[in-house]
Amino acid sequence: MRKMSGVLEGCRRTILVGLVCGGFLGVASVALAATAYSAYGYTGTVNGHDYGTRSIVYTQQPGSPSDWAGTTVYTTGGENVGAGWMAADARKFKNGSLCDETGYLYNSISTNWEEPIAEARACGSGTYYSYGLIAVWNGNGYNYYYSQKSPSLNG
Amino acid sequence: MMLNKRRLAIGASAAVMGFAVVGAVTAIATGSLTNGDQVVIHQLPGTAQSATPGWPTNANGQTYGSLLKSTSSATDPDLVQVIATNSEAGYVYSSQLNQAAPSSPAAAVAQQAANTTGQFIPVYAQDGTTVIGQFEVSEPGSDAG
Repeated sequence: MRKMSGVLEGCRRTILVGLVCGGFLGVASVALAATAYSAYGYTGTVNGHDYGTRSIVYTQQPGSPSDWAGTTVYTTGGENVGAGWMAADARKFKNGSLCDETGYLYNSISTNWEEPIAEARACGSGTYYSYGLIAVWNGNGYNYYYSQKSPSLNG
Repeated sequence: MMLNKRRLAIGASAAVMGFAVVGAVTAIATGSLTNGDQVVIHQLPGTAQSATPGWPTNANGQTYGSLLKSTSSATDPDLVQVIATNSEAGYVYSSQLNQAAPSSPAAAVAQQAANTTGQFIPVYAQDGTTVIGQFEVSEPGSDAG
């Protein structure tokens, strides 16, 4: 009987240790994920609209394929612009090298916001930045600008 | 004798047509990726202007470096530091990195819808001639708008 209760006690202890370890791992994985945003930048008035932009980088854990970089462009007044009037090209950099980009993605419907995300593949562990591009229609062609550079994140 | 001449003429015509088709396809394939001169990317108005970086040069006299230091596409290095899809570190020509400017918003949307497979350009070693991989410059069309 005493032997039986000792086995039960051992099982309880094992479960307790497992729960504690699992909890720590959960906390650690949450703690590793991070997001960094650049400051907002502005184009000024282009063909009657003012646009804002910023770049974002997200890292989950070293070398995770879920790491991504995004660049957003929007009308600061919140008004919609016509389809194809604005575009963003998200670029993800690792240790200074361009490791992924979306190419310019245009708004295909009338809207006030566009945010492509470069997340197609893992680029390995390193220091990540997001530094995308935007394009806005000026009536005769497009104006192209660098968005703002995000702070770095280790991923 | 007459038959041989006719065969020769047919063969020559076929060769010319083949050459023309290959040339046209090549022009279409590269035309959309090599107009870096048309697209000039600027810094946003009011952004603190950094000095144009002094790019290092390779043995062939081509400049190379990271676009993180770029201040304008007009002064970008010839070769841009990238990581190829096979994870190799290398360089792409900046002239191929900046895509064609659409002529209108409608053309931009149509061009995006037609891109169903993505577009790739070669990745070179620092010498600018040895191909070591490829880089995807444009993912298949989609948008958040």
